[in-house]
Amino acid sequence: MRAQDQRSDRYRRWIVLSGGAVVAVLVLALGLVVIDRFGGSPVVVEGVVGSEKVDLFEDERVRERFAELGYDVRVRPQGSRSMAERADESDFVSPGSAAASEHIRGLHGVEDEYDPFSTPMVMLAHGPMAEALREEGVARVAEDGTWSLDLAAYLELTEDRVRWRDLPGDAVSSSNRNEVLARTTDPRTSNSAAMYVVVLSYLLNDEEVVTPGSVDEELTSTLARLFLAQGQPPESSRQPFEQFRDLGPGHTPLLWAYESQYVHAAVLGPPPPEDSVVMYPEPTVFSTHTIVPFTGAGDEVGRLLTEDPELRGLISEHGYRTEDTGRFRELVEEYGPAVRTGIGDVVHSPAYEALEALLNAIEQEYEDTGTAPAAPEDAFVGRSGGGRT
Amino acid sequence: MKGRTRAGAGALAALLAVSACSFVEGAGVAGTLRVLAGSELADMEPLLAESAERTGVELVLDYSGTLDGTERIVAGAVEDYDAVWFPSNRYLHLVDGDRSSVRGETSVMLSPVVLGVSASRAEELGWVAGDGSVSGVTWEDVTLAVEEEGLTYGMSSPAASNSGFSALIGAASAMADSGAALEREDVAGVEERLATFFSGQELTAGSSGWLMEEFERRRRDASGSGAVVPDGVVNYESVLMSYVPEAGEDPLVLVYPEDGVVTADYPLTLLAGASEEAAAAYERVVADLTSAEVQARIAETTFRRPAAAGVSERGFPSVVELPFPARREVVDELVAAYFSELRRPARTVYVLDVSGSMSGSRISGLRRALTVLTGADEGPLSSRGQVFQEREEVTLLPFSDEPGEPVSFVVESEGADRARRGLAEEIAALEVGGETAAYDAVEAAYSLVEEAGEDGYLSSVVLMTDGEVNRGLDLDGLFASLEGLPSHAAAAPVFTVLFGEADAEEMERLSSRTGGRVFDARDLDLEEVFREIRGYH
Repeated sequence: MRAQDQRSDRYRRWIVLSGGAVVAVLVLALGLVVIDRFGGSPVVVEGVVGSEKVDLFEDERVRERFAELGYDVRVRPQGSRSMAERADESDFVSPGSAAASEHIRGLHGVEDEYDPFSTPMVMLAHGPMAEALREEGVARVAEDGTWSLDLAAYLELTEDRVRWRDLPGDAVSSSNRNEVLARTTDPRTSNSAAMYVVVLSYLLNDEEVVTPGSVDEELTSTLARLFLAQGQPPESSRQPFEQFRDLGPGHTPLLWAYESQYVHAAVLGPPPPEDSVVMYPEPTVFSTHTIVPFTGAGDEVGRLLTEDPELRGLISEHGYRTEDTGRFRELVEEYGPAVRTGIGDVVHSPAYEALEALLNAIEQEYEDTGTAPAAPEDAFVGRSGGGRT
Repeated sequence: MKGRTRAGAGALAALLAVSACSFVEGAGVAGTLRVLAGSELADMEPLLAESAERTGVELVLDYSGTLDGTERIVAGAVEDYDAVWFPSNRYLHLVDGDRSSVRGETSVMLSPVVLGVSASRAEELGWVAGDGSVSGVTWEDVTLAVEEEGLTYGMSSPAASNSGFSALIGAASAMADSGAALEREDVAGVEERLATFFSGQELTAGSSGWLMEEFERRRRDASGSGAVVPDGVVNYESVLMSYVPEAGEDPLVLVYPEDGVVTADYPLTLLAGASEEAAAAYERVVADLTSAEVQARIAETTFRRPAAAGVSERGFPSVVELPFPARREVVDELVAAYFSELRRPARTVYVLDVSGSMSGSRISGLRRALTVLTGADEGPLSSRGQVFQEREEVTLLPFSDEPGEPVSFVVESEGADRARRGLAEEIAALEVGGETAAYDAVEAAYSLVEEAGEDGYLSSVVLMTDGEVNRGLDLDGLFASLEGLPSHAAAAPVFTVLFGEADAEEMERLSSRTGGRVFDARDLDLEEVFREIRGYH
């Protein structure tokens, strides 16, 4: 059931679309640009995007490029799970997964979709932790110098509730009594944590993508523990990455994150600790960042993000992978994070209903024990992360 | 924070650019951000004043305790503020789970809650390595030192102050040693060890700052009052690092429990009700405070760790962070257990002025304030520590011409209601008339504490008087009579409540001689003052 190359169908939608329709839109858009160039103010386009993409859309260079193309793109962050219902009130939405995108399109009867960029989910580890996991046989270094994490073996460690001090190696042997447990975002609100559920549910379900019928209590309680045992969830997807980057191995030894977060930090800074590594879980999942348009202008934003070379270059600097693999490769070589270019071992996301069933069951476990859901991501001021990139 | 201001660094640069623009545009328009802040943050005021010059935004800080402030937020009683700034939002996020009261937050700096111990004592305990550092000590090692070597320490009240709260969560989580976030079922298994750990708590306080002042006073004035000098104190790393010993004074060494700590992360938090202008001002302030330069200054002047790596030259040791409980019940039950089972029980003698001048609204105000303390121990966390606790011995000692007959109640777990009812009846029956022999009454209170013997209780005296002392002992006479008290009685502080025409100077002298504190109820609600004092028992 693992797709060897998920990318083959990532562009299906817009390829279908790219016929006469696109040409027509293009002509129309060029016309608009021309009008705007000479006529004054750019077209305001409003989008609702997963909070992890706010930095990209608010990057001054991205805004400038859109302005050159005649658009003033304004975005508001909202979690992929909660953006569906009122999605059509904006010009476009941009969820962080194919399943969420599919659900939104189904709900509003939208056929079009752009997949301008994606990023694989990774496990970030501080040096001593990576080394300990390697000695334990859970992680290994591939020939190209990139790291792999055997996710099934990691899952076994969590089931045995192994502590960092139990692992081989001097660096972690005695000082950290916490369980070997990845820090994640909040599964009730965050796309990144939902991606964690996607891969772990696949492994826990005997390497089968979960269907609504296969969601049972054993599966969901195992998953829920992996979140609840971490303690109080972080307040946003940005916070745990910054804590990993800035507060050392004693604070966040292991973090489930978007690869783009790490690459972005390496390219634009502040850089991650030098001894930290990106581990590619085997299997992993791609977070596919789609654009679902509801208006002509929204459609144009999706198209430009997909096709405009300058925007694609900026997207690459934010750590995402686009069709233009060359730019991503260049950046990685220049800034040096050991990033794997070809990722083979990838699982499909369960269908929307099955993933929702899993997330709802996990949410229930939080509620059963009186922990109300955490930050709806839209509750936050766009940049109230306060100048943190 | 290194590199955070690098030119062209994405959104940050964008943000700075925006800020700079707004600043230029807004120059001359003085923005203000009204902030309800933890009292710990008073030391940031010089840095905030510098920041205001750069951003054009003035932060106006009103101070409150962390847990008290948390309850004000949840109760919606923060309309007067745009933002809050406490050492931690953890309890807030447990109580206000959907974060509906908060619009955004940014951690500005960090400080773990650790133990500072006299260097000589740490040496005796074998905790100090050849290079003078302490490592490898766990919470259980500290507990063993309490149990076997009589280690004593001061710690603030977990219901009043974030440092005490963090220490309680940290000690419990570390001792449960589950490797994961503390759960309810873990707590029962560690209560015995926690009780042993807390048997070493010789000093409590309603705030981290006052705790350190009193610790310092006891160390430097050891012979004066005869009060026990604790070996150490649990507080923020920053507070302990700021402690400057006098010449010849035993310095403090910092013990970072190897099994983990709970760290305060000082999130500057924009409230949900803030205006757009306030939100813009907030972002300007946050961008400034998180800049590399300011982060380095914070570390340099306040000893708090920067919220970003690589900007400080201070060698802060690395620590392991304990997972913070995900469930509110765990925390609430642990704090309740601290008061009812784990801590040393309190003995409090309320020395109450019922002289003629107290008639009318004054005596009814006093009755009302005391009655609140007899309430049941439910409701929000901060009020838990404020009502009379299980095992606590409460004595009412009214006085006028001379000390009256003391009436004592012990709040037993089964008969808690009975004790509270009895107290309420006594309070209601307080009658006024006569002169003010306050110091005779304080002397009588110390006699009661002395007679109780060394029974593990932490004793204190609360003196409430509304006028000059005009009968019996004068203050020097009282001080003379307190000479030679056994240490358990000498350690009892007198918390004085300024009310009516009370002699502020004498009250100050009495409090500082005994290690207490003056609470001014002349402009404040007496009930509020009595509740605040409860954090100090």
